[in-house]
Amino acid sequence: MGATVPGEASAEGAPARSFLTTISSALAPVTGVVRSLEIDTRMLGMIGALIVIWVSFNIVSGGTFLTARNLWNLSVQSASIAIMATGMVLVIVSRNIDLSVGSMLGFLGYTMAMFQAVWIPQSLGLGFEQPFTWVLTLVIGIALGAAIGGLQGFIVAYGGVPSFIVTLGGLLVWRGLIFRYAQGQTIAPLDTTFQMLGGGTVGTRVGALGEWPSWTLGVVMCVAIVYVMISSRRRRRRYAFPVRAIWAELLVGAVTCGAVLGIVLVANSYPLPVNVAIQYAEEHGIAIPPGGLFIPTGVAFPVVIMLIVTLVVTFLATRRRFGRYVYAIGGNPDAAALAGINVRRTIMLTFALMGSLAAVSAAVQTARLNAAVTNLGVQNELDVISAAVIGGTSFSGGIGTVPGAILGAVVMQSLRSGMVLLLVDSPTQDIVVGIVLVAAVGLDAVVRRRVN
Amino acid sequence: MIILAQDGTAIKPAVAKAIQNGVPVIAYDRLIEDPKALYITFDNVLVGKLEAQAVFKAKGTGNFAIIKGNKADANADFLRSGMDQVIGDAVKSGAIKIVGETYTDNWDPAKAQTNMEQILTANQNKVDAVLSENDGMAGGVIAALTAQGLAGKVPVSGQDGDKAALNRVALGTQTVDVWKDARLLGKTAGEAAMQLCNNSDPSKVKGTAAFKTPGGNSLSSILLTPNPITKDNLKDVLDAGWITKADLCQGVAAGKVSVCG
Repeated sequence: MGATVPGEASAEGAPARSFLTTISSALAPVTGVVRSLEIDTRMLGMIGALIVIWVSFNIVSGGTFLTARNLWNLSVQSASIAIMATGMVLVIVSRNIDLSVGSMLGFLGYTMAMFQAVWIPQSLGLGFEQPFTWVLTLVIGIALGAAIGGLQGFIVAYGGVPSFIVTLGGLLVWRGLIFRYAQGQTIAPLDTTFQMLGGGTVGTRVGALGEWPSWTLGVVMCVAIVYVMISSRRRRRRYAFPVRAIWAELLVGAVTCGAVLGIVLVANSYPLPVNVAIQYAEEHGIAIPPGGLFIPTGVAFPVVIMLIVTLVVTFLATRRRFGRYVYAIGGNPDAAALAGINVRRTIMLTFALMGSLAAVSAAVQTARLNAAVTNLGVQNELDVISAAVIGGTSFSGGIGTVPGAILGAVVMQSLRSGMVLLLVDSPTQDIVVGIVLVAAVGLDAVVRRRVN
Repeated sequence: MIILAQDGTAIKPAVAKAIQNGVPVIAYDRLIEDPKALYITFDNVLVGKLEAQAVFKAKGTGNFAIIKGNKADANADFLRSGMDQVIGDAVKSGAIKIVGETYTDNWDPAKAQTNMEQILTANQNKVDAVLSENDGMAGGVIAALTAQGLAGKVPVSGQDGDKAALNRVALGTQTVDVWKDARLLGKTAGEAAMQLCNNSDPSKVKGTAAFKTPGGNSLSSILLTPNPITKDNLKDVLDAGWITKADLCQGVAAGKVSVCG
């Protein structure tokens, strides 16, 4: 305020206004850059928040937080919530909510565990460890997830019952059904190949890609990202839409690619744990060099699954008619219906997609734990909704992105994992996460109002 | 009324109303902070003690991690105090260092797994023993240990007699599973209920003793004795018909465990 011209301050209310003008004029070049990059300001804010969280935890934990090992763990711990958050974005964008995802996850995970640990080996008498077990289990789980998600969506869309009520019912029903299976006994152990989906270790088999496949995945994803950017630029040209400046395209492409390759680099910097490496060396007749054996672990399978799901759902949301419809319905349901969009069918499909993603997460969680337990996924609905909302999805509909939700999930899990590292007890963790949730949305609302 | 309370304090008003209306209440396995309720459970302090004893026998010094249950559940603290009876002196003398101790929301195994991963990361895997308060969470702990190639090398405790956990005892990845035969608990509660129908004074029920609660109440209780199952007495759960040999011995190599052949 020292720079305010004296004459200005004499008018009533002027100091505040001039302060705002100063800020917005100072921010003008930044806003200009952000505009030409076409990045959501909230997305940038979240990346900033994530960096602050990571660096602070790293300092407080004495350098443990930003080790390859902790980041690898963090990626696996975030994956299952992130996978479901991508679907939750579409559900919330179309002005609905799904409170049943935690229970659906529990029910589907339990069903998949029964399938591979009881029904195939014992009821059908085929025995454990069949080569087809994991695929069959996964396919059946996803199909069942789509079916029960779709059923909820059908009741919402065609029955006209509010989604809050339908999925609140689902929350109770699916959880209750778990107890119908085995009186609530834990189902374990699971098929060893299936366990790989959770990023765990069985003997010397690790649920991760390993060094070179990880790099290959990184490069393939980079190529895919560049291809999508080029094709979208061409399409915009064709319809005479404004396109980004070339430098902006290059910057966005470089940062996105850099992030993907960064994940690969970190994952490859995390070696197999000593005991696993020694066993691996013995089995493969490798001599252990002095100073220990460094075998890169690579990107964990849950993270690979998460990346694939992110690509697929982003593609559905931004490049397919289905996604356009979802955003149109969220923006204005009446206008969407009048424009000839089949609103009911679209809404039903968002719930079916949510159900199948709950099944994917259920596979990841049960595989990771190597067991299905009755409270599998309890309260996950809150984490999933929080991730979507922290990631910029608006409850008023029409606004929200898939990458934002992934970042939201990572932000939340970073807070939790970091606090466990510092031995903060769980009630305090809940307090912090709760405050962050409200602060993130509140801050965003304030910023938006100011900008507009 | 036989009540298994998720939260022993929150249910108080409802229980008080029942007792005022002449309905005797049995607190089944979980404490209810009402002086007129009859508390029937396995001795949870003893369970904690047995869990710690088995682990302490396997590993008497070094870095210990303690994975506790839900904070709102009194059992989590009973178990912890039983553990303290065993390791308390060693902790004071510095022979045992507690490098991680966490409550676990809803006794959720997935949360226990994440917590264990973080404890291992924070201590560069230098964890010598884990006291987990139940079997579900022990499963999460062992999954985290497996990922570091430490399963079977680090002793882990548990309780409940979960079939998956008994299988882990046979496999050698879990040290002890303190088994509380739920059928005995049910039978005792049923018998007590029959007696309460004739005389609603809980202190007149056969086999009761006074029990001081953490909330400062004194109530009548029947405390049953649990059975710690280790590799050496797996026969007990087989003989009781609690688990089939196929479930118990799944994946166990021949000749490793006597009951599995």
